[in-house]
Amino acid sequence: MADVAEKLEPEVVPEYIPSTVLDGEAREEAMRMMRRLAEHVRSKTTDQVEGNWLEPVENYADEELFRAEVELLFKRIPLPLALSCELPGKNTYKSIEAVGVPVVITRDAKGEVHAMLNVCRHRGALICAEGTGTSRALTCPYHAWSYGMDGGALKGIYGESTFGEFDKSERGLVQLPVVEVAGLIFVCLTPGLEIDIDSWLGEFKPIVEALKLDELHLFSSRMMPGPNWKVVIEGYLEGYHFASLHPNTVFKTNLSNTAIFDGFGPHERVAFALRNLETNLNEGRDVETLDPSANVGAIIWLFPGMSFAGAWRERMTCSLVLPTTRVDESVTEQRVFTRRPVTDENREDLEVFRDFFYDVTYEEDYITGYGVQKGVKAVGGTQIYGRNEPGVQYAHRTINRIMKENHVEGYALPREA
Amino acid sequence: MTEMIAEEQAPDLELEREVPQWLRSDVLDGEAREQAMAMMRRLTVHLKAKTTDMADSTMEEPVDNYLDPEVFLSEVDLVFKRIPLPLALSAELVGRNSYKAIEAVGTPVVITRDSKGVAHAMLNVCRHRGALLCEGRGEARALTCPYHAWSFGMDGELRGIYGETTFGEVDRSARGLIQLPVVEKHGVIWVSLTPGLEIDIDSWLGEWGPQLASLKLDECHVFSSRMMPGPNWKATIEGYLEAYHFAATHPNTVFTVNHGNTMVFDGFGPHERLGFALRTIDDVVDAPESEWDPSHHVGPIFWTFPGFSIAGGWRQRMTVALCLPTTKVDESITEHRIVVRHAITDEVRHDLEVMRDWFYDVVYNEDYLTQYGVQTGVRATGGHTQVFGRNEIGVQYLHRTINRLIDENWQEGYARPRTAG
Repeated sequence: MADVAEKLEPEVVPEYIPSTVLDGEAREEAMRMMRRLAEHVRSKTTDQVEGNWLEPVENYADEELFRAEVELLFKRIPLPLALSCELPGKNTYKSIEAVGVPVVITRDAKGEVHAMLNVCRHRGALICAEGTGTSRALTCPYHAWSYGMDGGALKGIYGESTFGEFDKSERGLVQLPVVEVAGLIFVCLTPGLEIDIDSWLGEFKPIVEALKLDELHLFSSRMMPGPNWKVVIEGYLEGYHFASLHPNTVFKTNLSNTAIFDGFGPHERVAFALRNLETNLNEGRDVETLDPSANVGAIIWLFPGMSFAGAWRERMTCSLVLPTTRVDESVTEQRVFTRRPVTDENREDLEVFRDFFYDVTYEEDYITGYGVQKGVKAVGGTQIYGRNEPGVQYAHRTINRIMKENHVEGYALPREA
Repeated sequence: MTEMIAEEQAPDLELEREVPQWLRSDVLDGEAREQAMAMMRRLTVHLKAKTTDMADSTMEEPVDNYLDPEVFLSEVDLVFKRIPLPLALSAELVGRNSYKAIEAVGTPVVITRDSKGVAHAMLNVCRHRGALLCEGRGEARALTCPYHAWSFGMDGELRGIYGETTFGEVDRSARGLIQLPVVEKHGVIWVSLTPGLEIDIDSWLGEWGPQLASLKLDECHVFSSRMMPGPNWKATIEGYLEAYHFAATHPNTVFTVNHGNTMVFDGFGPHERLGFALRTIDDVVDAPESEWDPSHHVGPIFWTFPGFSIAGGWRQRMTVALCLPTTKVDESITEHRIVVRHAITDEVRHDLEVMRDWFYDVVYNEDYLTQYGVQTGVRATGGHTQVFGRNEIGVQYLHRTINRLIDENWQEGYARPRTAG
């Protein structure tokens, strides 16, 4: 496997298509962001934090620390494992493996959402293949036991008279806490642990709601392997690498190293100045007359790894980065959404957009990330995050904070430089 | 871009190709034929009544027993390293000066047949610098290490030292290959992984001996052999010991030739014999017994603990699988073989290839992928239990046997399997 990215030279860089999703306070807020970016463009600056940040490289490779991250972070916080629009009607489901835990999310005949372990209670086989679908019951492919969509009650036992007596009420699918809000379905991987979604989202909730996620249409979804989850998410949180890593792709539409940053509890919003903005300013247009959806590239990022990119535009991408069961492996669910229904007219453009997005992310970002994974194993010492990488610094501060808050005797804590 | 998530769910194979011909045989005679007829009688009763052999009750097994490295260590040290393992068929070491290398539970073993026809088993490890000597099967007059060309006799004695004058003095008698206990019986070569631990094969097999003997494995030929990875050895083996999954897991393959959820079961010490009703039995359920041919109407599984399964053993063509753990709790490896009673000629080669490909595809794509899913499933449901139905009596028996052997061979410092409730 290559560990140094070969820069892509695509024939076409898909155009960004603005949308009218922004209104009211969301539009006001987007205008404020655009003004900040315009100032940076004029003065060739970017949002900065006070100092640099040193991160010990062992934190990307230590198995004990990884186990602590899985148990203290990933199994205790609400994970946005689905968008509402991925379970568009009654009797739909989505199956996804999260941090090694197979999960099935269902929408029952009444439209209510449930989350369960995707594991048959007979002999432990996985019930649904990964992906989305429509079904009136969840039927295990091993011995055809079937479970209800409304919470996984055991409904049917094949050959019941030969199987013998047991307590069926104790053999429903294992329930996981679940909440549907702002077009997202949050699941907690620990049974019985209550989700307090309002305190988890806090001030970030209106920002997510402004995306109107429940109006989206899913065009494409793909699982993409990657190295350690922190190596991968860092690439979503700064624009410092655009010029060097993405010269013929992202850098064609975005300015490099020109970004604004805001933290909202554990979550982040990063926004990049698009080349449109620079052109408009150079041509003397008043920033107050510009459309933020055409001039600002917003990343709406939910901890611990869900990134909406191009969130105010017609076409957007959603990435959910999660660890696997190994410290040096992650998997990202990459999705392409559109605000307009997919028709024969826009399908070809969407395919180009999809392929461009997957290619850039994997061939440029993730291949580089694999190199980082090798690099950190080899060098020891620390990484350094610049004052111009506030989003990356913030992610590490958040990880360290939550790890401390949830700490339990016997678990490792992140090393500090 | 590669897809990251391993396929852990079996696609139902819709094989638009030739279905293998197993062919009836006349191997059954005397007492073996009587027993086969008795099994068939029981199956016809079950078919008419829509019943199957059943245990007294359902049974729960804690899922942590498929996950816990400590329990796994107990299984390896207290069970696998203390019982005779059927590491080769006599038919795999056909003539004199032949060998077979196999890694068993992380231990590299070489089995040889020397120039007198006597079978030996040794660690497949050079006594110079520890390199592995050979792999697969073959013929040789000596085992020569590929690292520095030291050579050992087929009985394991150190014979040749390359560049001996430069190497210096070596006590050759102390540097022969490490011998493992070995016995050849009923067409199978049994090896103990613990040097010096004597094999009492008759007491290990007990009443099972005559069952195995009746298959006349020493008259068979090996057509094909393949190593197949799998998840935890128990999750893998369970799939060999019940017919309850045929309809759901194998709708277009096994289920088209076998009835689902219809089985007779008999335990013989640690070993098990299952009989499935082949669909051909439907034609003769009400016919006089003189028209019955168990080799055509019954699918027997002769299963020797801890994971040696002979399927279709009364027919011309059978499959022989040996499932063993690797050194990790969540990994096993199965040696699959296609074994035939008739000569392997150009006329039958195509049919055998069809059977081979069909068999490997079904086992891997339908059974093993499902069981990889089980491994993910049990990891997610720690603290819970599996439930084995009364109709999964062979699976229940397997777990009772494992627990019993761990109890019998118990030593201080080892974990015991968890018990439910």
